[in-house]
Formats: sequence, structure tokens, C-alpha cells
Amino acid sequence: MSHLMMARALFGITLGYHIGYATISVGAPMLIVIAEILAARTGQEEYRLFAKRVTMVLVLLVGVGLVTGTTVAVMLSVLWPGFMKTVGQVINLPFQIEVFAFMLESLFLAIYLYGGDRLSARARILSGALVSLGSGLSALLITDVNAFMNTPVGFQWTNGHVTNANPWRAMLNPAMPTELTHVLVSAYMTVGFLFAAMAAKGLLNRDSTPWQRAYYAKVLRFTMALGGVMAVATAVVGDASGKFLARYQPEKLAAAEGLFQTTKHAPLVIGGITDARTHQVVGGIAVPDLLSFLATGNFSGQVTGLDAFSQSTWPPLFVHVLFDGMVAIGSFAIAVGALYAIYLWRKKMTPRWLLWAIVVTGMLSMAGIEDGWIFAEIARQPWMIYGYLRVSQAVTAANGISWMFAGFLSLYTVLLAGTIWALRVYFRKHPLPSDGAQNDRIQVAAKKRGVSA
Amino acid sequence: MTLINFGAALVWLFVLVYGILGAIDFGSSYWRWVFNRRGDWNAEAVAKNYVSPTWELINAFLVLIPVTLVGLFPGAVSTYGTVLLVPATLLLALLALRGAYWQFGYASQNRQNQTILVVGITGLLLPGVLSSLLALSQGGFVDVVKGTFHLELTRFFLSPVVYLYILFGISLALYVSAMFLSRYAYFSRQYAAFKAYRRQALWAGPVSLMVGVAATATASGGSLNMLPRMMQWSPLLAVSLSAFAVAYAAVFRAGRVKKSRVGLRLLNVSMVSTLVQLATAHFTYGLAHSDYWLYPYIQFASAASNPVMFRETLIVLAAGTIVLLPGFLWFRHLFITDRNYAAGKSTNGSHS
Ligand code: HDD
Ligand code: HEM
Ligand code: HEM
Repeated sequence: MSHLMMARALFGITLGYHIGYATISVGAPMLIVIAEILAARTGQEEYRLFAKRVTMVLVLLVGVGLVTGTTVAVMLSVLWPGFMKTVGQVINLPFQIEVFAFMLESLFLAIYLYGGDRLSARARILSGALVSLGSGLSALLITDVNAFMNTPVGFQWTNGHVTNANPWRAMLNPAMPTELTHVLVSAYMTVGFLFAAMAAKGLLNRDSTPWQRAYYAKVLRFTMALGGVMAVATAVVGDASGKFLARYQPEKLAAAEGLFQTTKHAPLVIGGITDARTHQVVGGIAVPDLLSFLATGNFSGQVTGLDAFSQSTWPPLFVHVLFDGMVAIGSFAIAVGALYAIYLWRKKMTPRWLLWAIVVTGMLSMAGIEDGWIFAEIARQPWMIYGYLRVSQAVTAANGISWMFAGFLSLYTVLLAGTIWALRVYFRKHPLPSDGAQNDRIQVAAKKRGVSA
Repeated sequence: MTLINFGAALVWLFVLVYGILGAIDFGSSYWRWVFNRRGDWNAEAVAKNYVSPTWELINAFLVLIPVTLVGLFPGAVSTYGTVLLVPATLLLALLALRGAYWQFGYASQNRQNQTILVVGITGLLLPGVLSSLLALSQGGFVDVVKGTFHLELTRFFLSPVVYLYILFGISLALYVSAMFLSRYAYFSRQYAAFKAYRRQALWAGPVSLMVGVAATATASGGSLNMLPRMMQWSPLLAVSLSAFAVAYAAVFRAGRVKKSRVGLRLLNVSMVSTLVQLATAHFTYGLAHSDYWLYPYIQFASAASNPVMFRETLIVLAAGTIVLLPGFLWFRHLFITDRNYAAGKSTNGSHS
């Protein structure tokens, strides 16, 4: 692999790991807050128990999110010094504000965790809400830098130098509204479905006691509600992102849809593989006029194709698959959520096949996050800052990236294995109580030993 | 003072804050390991109760430094970025190991000892690795090859100055954390633990002082001559030295008096003096080092961002600090100034 590809691969896997942990860190505090509020409102211990169990997951993951995030931050500087030189002149404010969002998050996470019994229910809800605010803001702010990379504004570029910088305008760039909303709602959707998947697994387990079933059913209901609502929001905002691309990054949309000629009445091609030689999508299903409608809101609207651009700035064409994958996952999740709602509304038991579908949805959502990011990043190629700075211009001149790649790949593998090990051990040692009374006993015993969660 | 110098001083202030918080954090995890091995559970518990809630927050301070540098002095970041590929990677690996073990330790009591070991050892090494950056910044290890900066790794790793700085970082972290924990222990009425930490502080203090002088006095080829440059600010140095003497004497004395308010007052004096000592020494070093981020290539003015970005970054920093202040105070109230928490007596305090 070339030096540049090595650098991209190293950065890509680092972010890929980080985003997995980060997504859960964004969503889990939200679940905790909702559960704490429900516990305070209804007085039902199950919600408090759920909040504690989610907290434990969060605690186990936050550390890895932190170290992978710190790694990303350092790698941005060491792998792409050319990028940082530009970024530092224009769009560092989101990073700067984000540090405070991190501080907010870790400050109140510590208070929520170690404050223990010294906090009232209201103080717990408040500190949980501030954790949620902090992690949500950090995700939004960092994504804003990415939005800037897609639609760079707020500066002038003269001979490779930045002049007339306007950092606030750069921050409020055109990609910001859709991209930030899409990232946030997709994170909530994913975490909702992930915890729904765990509850569904519990219900599928034939050894669960009646008390445990009641607990899982309750958890399933509210995690599915969060996941389902956010799935619809994700699709709605995703549609807006598509319209945004049509206007600001038509190359990206054209590559995503495999559209070579600029056309009116453009069809939407679902599935299939883009063939670079024949300039066609092989094996997809074409729905007439739909792409025009999705991109412009009008069935006869004109959509720009790849022919409008020099072939040297085309993104890789396989991004079509990535894009369809994301949309498919979103549609599937909405369908599962709707089916679950119908069964619930008819007051019927959720059938086992649907529980299995929920388990699958949980895993697919996480895959959707990774898929979506890989699509968004690769379809921006060859640009790092769209229209201004190529990836090849920003890459470091220093040697030794290949052994770094090997080293970090092993490190991440160890971290991932460690995460899974830690989660399994923890939940094996802290099984769900088999009845409510036992739940109280366990809590009392835990308090005596001075252990929380 | 120009705005650019003010910005540089602010970055240097963040380095000081992280330096102190980090030294306490790293040192404490090392002491926790030592006392765990010796079976001194009291002293271990004091270290643990302090470390547990703070490390994430301290990591956020670590991130604040490069991010602020990018906002204020992007030229310095892109140079350090190129030069530091290897050392930064080492640092990251250590940090990652530490963070992960720390976190996974929550899952299982069985692996507690392993967690304490990894966190303790990385706690010992990290201040050393971080301080070696000071040696790097003083010059003599970076060459320009075909227009790009290049770190001479062999020269770097064979240089005595680098090792002196590493030793300095380690001994200072041990001293500062032992000072802090001895007061934290006394404050929560853990007198046996206090004695243990006091004993460590009494040897680590003089050692760190001597190694520090040796590190700044040793000049390698092509570097700044730090000691003579620092001597130009001799009044500041004198304040620093006397503050050290006061802090040291106060800790020494606190072990002799009867357990009482007098002891705590002495320890408060010693803590404040230690802070004065560190701050004055830190800024003397910074003044002697200015105007260079990296001698002789990168100076403050040439590395600075455009004036708009520079100003907005400073505004964001001020606003962020003000917004977070109440949170910090609540945090302090819960974990630092609560005697029962410090003593580990709070019903729900200790987590791991
Ligand atoms: C669970 C995850 C998930 C799901 C189900 C979807 N997305 Fe998505 N999508 C993301 C997760 C995501 C993401 C990870 O959040 C991305 C990557 C970069 C970004 O800004 O958001 C993204 C980017 C992204 C972009 C590119 C924006 C850009 O590059 O600036 C478009 C056009 C869409 N999405 C459209 C959709 C549509 C029409 C969906 C239909 C249901 C959809 N997404 C479902
Ligand atoms: C967290 C979600 C993200 C993921 C999963 C992700 C993933 C990736 C991947 C896979 C690549 C390699 C692309 C390629 O090989 O073509 C990449 C490149 C890159 N990303 Fe992202 N990215 C994310 C967010 C961001 C953000 C928020 C930023 C900016 C602050 C960013 C900046 C970059 C840069 C500078 C590159 C290298 C240049 C390039 O290949 O485009 N990424 N990312
Ligand atoms: C170039 C891209 C990125 C960089 C440089 C980056 C940097 C960081 C850093 C330095 C931390 C640790 C902060 C600390 O020590 O306190 C962190 C944590 C975090 N990051 Fe990222 N990040 C990136 C991408 C993202 C993306 C795309 C998201 C979300 C969509 C995200 C969400 C988070 C969250 C929620 C945390 C909090 C830590 C946790 O709770 O796990 N980050 N990130």
C-alpha cells in the first residue's frame, strides 16, 4: 500500500473504533436520564435497576471512547499536518468548544457515579441530563468540523494560504443543519435498538423468570419507543441530507446513486454494482423519477450526474453499495419498529420471530453508523476539504506509518476484546435478579459492601 | 504584553494546570500500586478514592492543550505533528493501556491486582515521557531535511538531557502526589496513611529538585542554554526555592506535632507553598524558553494563527471556563473537601 493509503487506513480504523464507542456514549446517557425520570415518576424499581445497568455499560465503554478519541485527536495532527494548518486557521472553534463539552460530560459522569447516595433523585436526573448534554454536544461539535470539510466556507484561499478567516461562519456552514441532526438522531436510534436487542434476548431466553420477563418487556417498550421514533427521524433527516448533497456536493450524490448523465426524471437505482467502464449500475432495480423527487422535491427535477465533473475528482464508485446499505438498514429498522408497535397496540405478545428481528436490528444499527461514516468520508475523495485541499496534499511527510498501523490495529483489537470480556464478566457476576424481592436484597447487600451500580 | 505573548502564556498556564493535576493523578496511581503491594490498605484507599473520580476529567485537560495550540499557534502544531509521530505514538499506547485497564478493572475484582499494576506502572512512566518533550523543545534533536522537519531518533534516545528530563518528570510527579496525598490523608484523619505519604514526600522532594537543576543545567549541542537563561529571572527562582523550603519544612514539622488543627494548618501551608513553588518555577522556565515553541525553528509570532481566530479562541476559552465553574465547584465539594468521602466512609463512594 502507498504511504497515503496507509495513512488513510490508519486514520479510518481509528475513527471506526472511536465512533462505535462514541455512539454509545452519546445515546446511553439519554437512556439513563429517561429511565431515572420514569423511576422517579412511577416509583418502579425496574427503571432504576435498568439505569444502573446502562450506567455500568457506559462506564466500561467511556474509558475506551476516551483513549480512542485522544488517539484520533493526536492522529489528526500527526497524520495530516497540512489539514491542521488549515483547520487551525479557520475551523478550530468547534474543537475548542468541544473540550468544554467533554469536561461537562466527565465532570457530571463522575458526580453521577461516585456521588452515589449523597445525591437526591433530582440531583441524579440533573447530573445525568448534563452528561447527556455534554456527550451530545461533543458529538455535534466534532461532526461540525466534518461538515466544514464537506462545505468549506468562511475564508479565502490565496496561494495555499488562508485569508479573511471568519471562524463563526465556518462553523455555521451549509452542511451543518442536516449533518449534525442526522448524526445525533442516528446515534439515539442505534443505542435505543442496541438495548432493545438485549432486552429481546432476555425475553427469548426460555429460562427467564416471570419477574425477569416483566422487566425485559418494560425495558423493551421504552427502548423500542426511542429507537423507533429516532429511526423515522433518521430517515427524514437522511432525505434532507440527500437534497443537501444535490445542491452542495452533487458529485457525492451522483456517485452514491450511480448516476453518470445529468438528467431530468432521474430514476432511483436500488442495489446493484456500479460499473466504471460501461457507466451503468448492473443489477439494480430502477424506480423511475424517484431520484429526481428525492433530490429536488420534483419528479421532473434535474439531477447532476458524474459527467459534469472531471474524472480525476470522481469518488470511488463502490460508494453506491455503502449508500444503499445505509438506506436499507434505516428502512428495515423502521419496519421492525412499526411491527412491534402494531403488536403492542393490539395488546398481543411480541412473537419470537419479531424478537429475533429486534436483535438483528440492534446489530444492524451499529453497522449503519459505521457504513454511513465510511460512505460520507470515502465519497468525499479525493478531497479532504471539498474543492480546496486534497488528501494527498495534507498527508504527513514522516515515515513509519506502516508499523504504526500494525501496532494500533493490535491495540484496538485488544481493546475490543477487553471491552467484550469486561461486559461479559460484569454481567455474569451481576445477573438480573430472578424476582423483585431479591432485587431489593441485592441492593442492600451491595450498599453494605460499598459498591454502586 | 502583546496578545500573542498572552496566548502563549495561557497555553503555558494550561500546561502547568495539567502538569499538577497529571502529576497527582499519575503519582497517586503509582503509590496505590506500591501500597497495595506492601499491604498498606489505608494508604492505598486514600490514593484510590482520590484517583477514581478524577482521571477522566484530567484527561480532558490533556486534550485542552493541543486543541488550544491548534487555535492559537497552528504553525507549532503542524511542526510538532510531523516531528512527534513516534514519541506521540508511544505516549498514546501508554495512555490507552492505562485507560483501558482502569475501566476494565470495574468489571472484575479478580483482576484488581493486574489493573493496579498496569495503572501504577503507566502512572510512573507517563510523566517521564511527557517531560521528555521539554528536552525536545529546547532544540538539538530536530533537523530540516529537504524542507521538512525530522526528529533524529538515535540522537534523542542517546542523549543524557532527555533522560534527565524523564527522571525529573517522574520524581516531580512522585513528590507532588505524595505531598497532596499526605494532606488528603491527614484531612480525612487517616494518620497512618499520612505518615506513609509524608515519608515518601521527604525523599522525593530533594531528589526532584536536584534532578531538575541538573536537567536545566545540561545543554546539548544546538539547544537553548536553559540554566543561564533562567538565571536572568533570578528573583522568580528565589521565590520558588524559598517556597520549596517552606513546603518541605511544613510537611516535616506536621509529622512531629500532635494530631491536631496545627498539623492540618501546617499541611495547608505546605500545599499552598508547593503550588507557589511549581508555578514560579514553571513560569521561569517558560520565560527562559520564550519566544520559541521549538528552538530554533518555531517562534511565537511565526506560528500564530490569524488575529480573528486568535481572538475568538481566547473568547471561547474564557466563556467555557465561566460556564463550567459551578460544575467544578460542586465536584470539589463532593470529592475533595468532603472528609467522609476522602476517608472512604461515604456509603457509596468507592467504586472499584
Ligand atoms: C444507523 C445509522 C444510519 C441510518 C439508518 C441512516 N443513516 Fe445516513 N448517515 C449516518 C447514519 C445512518 C451517519 C453515520 O450518521 C452519517 C455519516 C456521516 C454523516 O454525516 O452521517 C450518514 C450520512 C448520510 C448522508 C451523507 C451526508 C454527507 O455526506 O454529508 C446521506 C445523504 C444520508 N446519510 C442519507 C440517509 C438516508 C436517506 C437514510 C434512509 C433511511 C439514512 N441515511 C439512514
Ligand atoms: C466518527 C465518524 C467518522 C468515521 C467513522 C470516519 C471514517 C473515516 C474513514 C473510513 C476515512 C478514510 C477514508 C478513505 O480512506 O477514503 C476517513 C478519513 C478522514 N476523516 Fe473521517 N470519519 C469520521 C469522522 C470524521 C470527522 C468528524 C473528521 C474531522 C474532524 C474526519 C476527518 C477525516 C480526515 C481528515 C480524513 C482523512 C482524509 C480522507 O481520507 O478523507 N472524519 N474517515
Ligand atoms: C476527527 C474526529 C474526532 C476527534 C478528533 C475526536 C476526539 C475525541 C477526544 C479527544 C475524546 C476524548 C475526550 C476526553 O479525553 O475528554 C473524544 C471522546 C468522545 N468523542 Fe470523539 N472525536 C472525533 C470524532 C467523534 C465523532 C464523529 C463523534 C460522534 C458522532 C464523537 C463523539 C465523542 C464522544 C461522545 C466522546 C466522549 C467520550 C466517551 O464518552 O466515550 N467523536 N473524542
